[in-house]
Amino acid sequence: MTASAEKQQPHLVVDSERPGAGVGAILRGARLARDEDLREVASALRIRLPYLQALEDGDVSALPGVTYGIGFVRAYAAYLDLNVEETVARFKSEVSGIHRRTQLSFPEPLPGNRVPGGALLLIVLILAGAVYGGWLYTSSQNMSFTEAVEQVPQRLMALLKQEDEVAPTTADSQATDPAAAVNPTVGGQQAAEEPTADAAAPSETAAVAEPTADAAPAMDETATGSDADPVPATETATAPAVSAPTESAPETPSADAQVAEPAATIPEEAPATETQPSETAPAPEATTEATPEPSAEPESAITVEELPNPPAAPEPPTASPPSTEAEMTDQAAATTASTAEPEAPVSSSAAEEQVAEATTTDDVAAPATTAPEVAAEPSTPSRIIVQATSDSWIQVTDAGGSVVYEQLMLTGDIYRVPDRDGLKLTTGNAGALKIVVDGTTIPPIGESGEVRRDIALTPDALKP
Amino acid sequence: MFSRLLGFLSADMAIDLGTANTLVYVKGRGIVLNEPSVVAIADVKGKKQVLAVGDEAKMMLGRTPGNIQAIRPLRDGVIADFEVAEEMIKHFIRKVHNRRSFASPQVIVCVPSGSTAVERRAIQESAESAGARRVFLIEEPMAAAIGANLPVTEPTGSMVVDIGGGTTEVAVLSLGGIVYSRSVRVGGDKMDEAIIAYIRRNHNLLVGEGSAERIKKKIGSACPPEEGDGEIMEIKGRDLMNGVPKELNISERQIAESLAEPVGAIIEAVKVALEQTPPELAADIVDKGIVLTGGGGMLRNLDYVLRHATGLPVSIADEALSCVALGTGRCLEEMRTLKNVLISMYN
Repeated sequence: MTASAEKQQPHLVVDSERPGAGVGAILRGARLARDEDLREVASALRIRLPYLQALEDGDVSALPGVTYGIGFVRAYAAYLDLNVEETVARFKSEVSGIHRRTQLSFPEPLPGNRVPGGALLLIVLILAGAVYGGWLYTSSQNMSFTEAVEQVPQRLMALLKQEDEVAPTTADSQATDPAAAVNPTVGGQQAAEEPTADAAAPSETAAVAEPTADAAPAMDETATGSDADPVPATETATAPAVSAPTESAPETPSADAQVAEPAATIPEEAPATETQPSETAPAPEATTEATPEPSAEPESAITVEELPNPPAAPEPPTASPPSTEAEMTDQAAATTASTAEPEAPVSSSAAEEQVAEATTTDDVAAPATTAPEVAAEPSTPSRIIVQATSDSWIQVTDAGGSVVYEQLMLTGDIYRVPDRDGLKLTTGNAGALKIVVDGTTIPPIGESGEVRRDIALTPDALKP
Repeated sequence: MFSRLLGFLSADMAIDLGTANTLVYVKGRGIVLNEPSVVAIADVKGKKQVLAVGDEAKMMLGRTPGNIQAIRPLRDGVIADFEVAEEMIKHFIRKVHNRRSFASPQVIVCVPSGSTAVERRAIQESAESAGARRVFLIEEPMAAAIGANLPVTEPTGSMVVDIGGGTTEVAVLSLGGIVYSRSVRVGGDKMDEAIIAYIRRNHNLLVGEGSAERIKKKIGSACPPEEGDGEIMEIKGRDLMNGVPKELNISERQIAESLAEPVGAIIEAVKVALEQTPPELAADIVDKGIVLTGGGGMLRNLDYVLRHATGLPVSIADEALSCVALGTGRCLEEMRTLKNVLISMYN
């Protein structure tokens, strides 16, 4: 500070001073002009000496803060009778960062050992990505169930087409219903039929050839047994399952429209049927002569069981009254089988041979096991088949008068009459029933809308 | 998220609802309104209607006919007339709030540190019914300290003395919180009353509140001048003896005498606060001193009196009158970091 600053009107001098002169110098000049000691000022203003010193030296950083610095300047300037506002304004303009706000950062609690939010999010994202990747991999690697099933071989596809032409409509609700209604007994029956379509096909045909009454009980047992222990022979059966539809197909062309139903049911139930054959094996042992041996090869056993159905039918229906539809399909299958039997050999020569063997021998099992994938028709146990050409209510009673079957048959419905004596048919629409006995259609039993009661359901009585 | 969106649409504001003046700080725009907290209400056929608010109403103060009332709805820092206060806040918000933005604003209002829960609730509710979406409260000394740019979040003691119209707040702050605070209901109003009482007693002259305030601002001083009577001022009022208007001269010394009582009360509050301050913080305060804010801090020589009474350096903050509004506004701007100092009654 020059001597000019130490005059009576310091603030004026301040104005004329060079801009960088500094408030500190002005203050010091004013104080020296008043001839005061810094100590006196400090005691008067209660501002600590070091701060006043720093202020005069322009060492702003030594001051306790912006607000206090300005306050000190104001107090000092007022004490020295300087122009307070002017001096303060000058001080503000000189000190850089004076307008900067004090940084306020509140003390925050130290972070605990919690997983930080960002890391958590990252982990979740990675997991989600992994799950999605896995799903994508499995789905792209044809792991889906539909693809797990083998494609139908070309030659069998051709047969399938034929079948479709023959009976495109038949594979309707009836076909599916039985599939769904897998009661122990009925399911067993169906199962029995279906496996036959599989690898067991030849054996079936063989069995069909000789439908023995004894087999019938075995059937039931096998069916019931199937629930108990499905496991053993499943593998053997699975492979054939694929071929099942095709095998059944050959029969259809020759057979009625009904034939298609079993064919249709087979593919769906294929997995289920596979298990059953295995179980059937043990069951037969008890009752039938044919079954004991088959225990080794499930399929053969099945075929045996199926065969019984037509003749020995009475038991299955009684066992499972609820699942009538299933029975019907059974019958249908039976019919087809029966009708197809003669033609079955067509599918392959090997099959024919085996069939032949089967027919000749009571022990169906032996040939059946050998028979690999020969296509054959399902055996048709029942000799009488009632089909509704239009809606018709029917009731079948046995000799004792108890109801064996009672149903409002819809158009196309089929009922396979169990091979039992003393069965009687009552219908509310006689003209709507088409009755097939041993493959030949007999003339209608009445006019459309006519009510017929107690018609004996025996082949002999029905045949003209 | 949604509230942030609304924040963009609305002009959030900080209100220093003072006894004497109300300041409104709008986010991003600074202090946009500074008007006296006065409402003039006209009684039209038994129905009360707001005639004027703010400066206009202050002109009417003490000059109203029978059907008009000029009311100061706040007394001693708290709402005395709930309905009028609500009208006033509504008026200020409407005046300041951008009409285009349809979302109602978030509002921070300061309350005296010594206010009761009922008083806080009253302030909050009147702000809500005046159209605020959310109301936060902040204690005045904290707002004043932030507005005075004190390092309140540092682990160092800061003492702030905020002398407002109705109350004087003395507080010691550290680490973002109030260590000690004391609120005395002495402020500019009490000084005006003291001046009125003094003149009436000694000169048999009755002066209005407005006149008293003008006297205080012009020649008011916390201590008498060292020699002589100091400045002289002409004052006008009504003579109590013969009931005619009268004019007389009054000196700075006389006014200083009249103000001795309220100033003494303020000094007493500061002394009590210092007594209650923990020693470490007291050491910090001895080092840095006291910061004066608020209109009362502008009283001449008050810093000198305080300095001698306490033996501490006393600094008057820059823009002492708007320190509280600035501090509240800063809380509004830095809502996220300064949320700790806000009081919310919502949860």
